[in-house]
Order: sequence, then structure tokens, then C-alpha cells
Amino acid sequence: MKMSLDIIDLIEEEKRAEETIEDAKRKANKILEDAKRMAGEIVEKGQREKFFQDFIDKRTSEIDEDKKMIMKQFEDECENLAKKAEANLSKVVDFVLEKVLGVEYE
Amino acid sequence: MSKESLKLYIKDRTEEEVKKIVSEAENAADKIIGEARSKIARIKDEKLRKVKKEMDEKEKAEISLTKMDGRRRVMEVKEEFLKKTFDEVKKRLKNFSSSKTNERYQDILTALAIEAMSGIESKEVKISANKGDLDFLRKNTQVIKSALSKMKGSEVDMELDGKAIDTIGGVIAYSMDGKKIYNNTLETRLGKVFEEVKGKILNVLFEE
Repeated sequence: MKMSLDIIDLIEEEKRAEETIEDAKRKANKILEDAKRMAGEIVEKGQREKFFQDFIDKRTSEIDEDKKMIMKQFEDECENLAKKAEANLSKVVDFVLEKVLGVEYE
Repeated sequence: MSKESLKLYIKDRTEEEVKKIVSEAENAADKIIGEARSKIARIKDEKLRKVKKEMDEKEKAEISLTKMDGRRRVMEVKEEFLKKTFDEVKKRLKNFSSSKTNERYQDILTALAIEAMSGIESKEVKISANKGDLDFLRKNTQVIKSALSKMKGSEVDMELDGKAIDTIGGVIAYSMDGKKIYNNTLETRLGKVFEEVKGKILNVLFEE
């Protein structure tokens, strides 16, 4: 009689063990499901994210600065050319007049 | 083996199994999340490369456009002063030729007429000019004819067009059939001179 009670007890223990393992499997499934969801969110968030805006802003500002500097150089050149031309205008006019009024047979 | 020992064995084995199941699940979960992070890192790398390339291209294009714009501005300044020179010469030519008593202009007009007529291979040449110049040429026809004939070594007949043309000075010579024309007006000469010596004009205008 005692022996059969022991066996029943052991069968009960085995049943509890199986339930514990089933719980562990459910927990494992939950861990995997959570991980998949989290991975999906990481990818989705990453794809949505507007990368490198700071980099773009910095480069845009550098380019604008370079453009300003180049334009300034050309503006200075124009100003310099205009000054020279104003100073030389009368000399050039005399030179052209001479050419226009010079006739070959003379 | 006692019942208690067996129960303990079952318990230990179960705990081990649970640990293994959970540990495998956690490892698999770490791998899934790690792969997601790697995927995003790859996407970021690709985007960074793309963005860098785009910004380099933008820089190249914008700098090139800016330089083109600057060079256009320099050309505009040069064109502006070429035009200023042209207009000033034209104004001075007009003043110079409009004085009826300007002997220097009369000498030049005579020379322009002789040069134009000598450029027409014909015994008879027709001359057009503005009203004031026609008056002067009419009065000096003989002088011009004689200078031209002497230069060519044969007689040349000169006929003045009755109708004055709109010019600031100088003449247009035609053969009588109108097939040969020598335009020696001051405007035409100015245009030709300007084209011929444009390079020199630019050099002198913008020299130190």
C-alpha cells in the first residue's frame, strides 16, 4: 500500500515537472515573440529616422560659405576692373578715334 | 533509490530543462535583436555614403554655377566698358564731324572719299554722304578727282548722289551699276575698327 502511494506521489511530481517545463516553453516563446517585435520596431524606427541632418546642415553651410567667398572674389575683381577701365577710358577712346580717322592713303 | 531521492532527481532535471529552454530562447532573442541592429547599421552606412555623395555632388554643382555666375559678371563689366568706349568714340566722332569749319575733318573726309573711290575698280564712281559732307565734297570735287586720278594713274569720274544719307560722317562709294560698294562712313569704320582691335581695347582698358 505504501509503495503504491509512493508511485502516485512520484507520478504527481513528474506531472508538476512537465507543467513547469511547459511554463518554461511558454516563457521561451514569449521571449522570442518579444524579441521579434522589438527587432521589428528597431528596423522600422531606423528606417523612419532622418539620418545625418546635422551632417547635411553642416555641409550645406560650408557650401554656402564657399559660394559667398567665391562671389566676393568675383565682385572684387569686377570692382577692380571698373576702376581700371574708368582710369583708362579716355586713353582707349583716343586710340580708337585715331584708328577710325586714320586713312590708308595718307 | 528512495522516493525523496527520486523526487529530488525529477526536480533537478526539470530545473535544468527549464534553464536550457529559457537560455536558448534568450540567446535566440539576442541574435534576433542583434541582427536587427546590424541591419539598421548597414542601412545607416549606406545612407551616409549616399548623403556624402549627394552633398559632394551638390557642392560641385553649386560651386561651378557660382563660378559661372562670377565669370558672367566679369564679362558684363568688360562688355559694359566696351559699350561705353564705343558710345564715347561715336559721340566724339559726331562732334568732330558736325563742325562745318573743322579743317581736320575736311581733310579726313577728303581722304575717306579717296580711299573709298580707290577701292572701287571702276572709271566712274558714285558717292553718297550726309548733307554737310555732300556740300563739302561738291565744292572739292576737282581736288578729289585729281588726287584719285594721280593715285590710280588714270582718270576717274566722280558723281555725287543727290540724296543725302543718314550718317555722322564719311562716304559710301558705289560703282555706277551698284554692284561694287565701299562703305567708308564713320559708323562703319568704327564698327570695323572695334572688331579688329577689340583685344587691344580690352587690354588697354583693363591694364594697370
